[in-house]
Amino acid sequence: MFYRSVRNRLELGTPGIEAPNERQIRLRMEAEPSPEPQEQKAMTQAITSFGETRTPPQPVSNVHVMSIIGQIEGHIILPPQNKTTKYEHVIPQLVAVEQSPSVEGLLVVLNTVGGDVEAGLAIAEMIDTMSKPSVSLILGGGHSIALPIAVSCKYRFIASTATVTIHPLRLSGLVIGVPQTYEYLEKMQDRVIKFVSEHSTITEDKLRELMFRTGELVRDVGTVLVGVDAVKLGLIDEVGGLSHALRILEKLIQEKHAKPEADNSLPETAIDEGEVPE
Amino acid sequence: MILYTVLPIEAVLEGLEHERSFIDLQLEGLTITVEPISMEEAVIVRVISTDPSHYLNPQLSPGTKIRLFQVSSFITTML
Repeated sequence: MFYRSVRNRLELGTPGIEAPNERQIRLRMEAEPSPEPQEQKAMTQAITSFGETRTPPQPVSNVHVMSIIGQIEGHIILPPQNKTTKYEHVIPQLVAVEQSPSVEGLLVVLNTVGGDVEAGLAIAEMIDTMSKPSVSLILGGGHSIALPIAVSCKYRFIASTATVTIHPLRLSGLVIGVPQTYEYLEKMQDRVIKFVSEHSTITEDKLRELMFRTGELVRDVGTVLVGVDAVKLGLIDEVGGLSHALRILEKLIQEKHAKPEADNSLPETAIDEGEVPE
Repeated sequence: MILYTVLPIEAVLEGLEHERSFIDLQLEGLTITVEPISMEEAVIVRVISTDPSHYLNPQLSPGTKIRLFQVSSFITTML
């Protein structure tokens, strides 16, 4: 505000006022407390950060939303052209969610191209062992390592046009061409397959078959599942969107309130068909 | 490290050889790693703390721009 008024004066050329240079203005701005009202300051912040004048008001919510976007970053900081989900930040955040008395449920929004196997599995293992209800929602695409994260939640949704790509793990960089290398890779792959098959109704064999299916040209082998396909295979519970996910989460929270001593092993098919929103 | 992703590995790792410089800032009760983007501004890269609530603080989430000369006032508004 102060800055702008100085600028205006400069442009109008008010007589008798010596034009301060940029540096002086900045120094004065730093020295003086900002005359902007708090609201306006927040608005300026919103413009610079989001390109919007208004961000939705912040009511106190009992749900924590965790968006897993871009690449899931593991032990190596990826170059800045990648959008990343940093697991060293997400994991303590999950601890905070589990421990915070004000958070009652977790909504995991997935739109990711995959990422580090260990980091992705770590997030999935954390969500899986949480006592608070969790619901996942795949939008756009939830590829590769996103699948274990999606199935780790108590209830999963996929948007009708969202896709899930299932493909084998690949080695990159320097590969030592010995059988052990492939055994190791196989072992890593088995961890993913095992986690997904244990947390959904798909069998290990079926998942492996989808992973190595030829003819769909997902780079070379693999399968692309669009919305309802993932539900039919038992990987995802339902096709739905934001309102469905939030409604189910609310329902799970209420169920937990009803029997607070219940352990976290909520049965996979606990929600009966009749009450499920379409 | 094994990447399990649909993107080609070259696209993901392109530019990895460029060295990036990070600074650790000691705030009260926590450390943050920031990457300076200009003389005045830096972007938070990582939060190092044992208090889980720090990780829920939107002011501390990675990717947030902070003004380096405001770090002292930043602490007071944060705590």
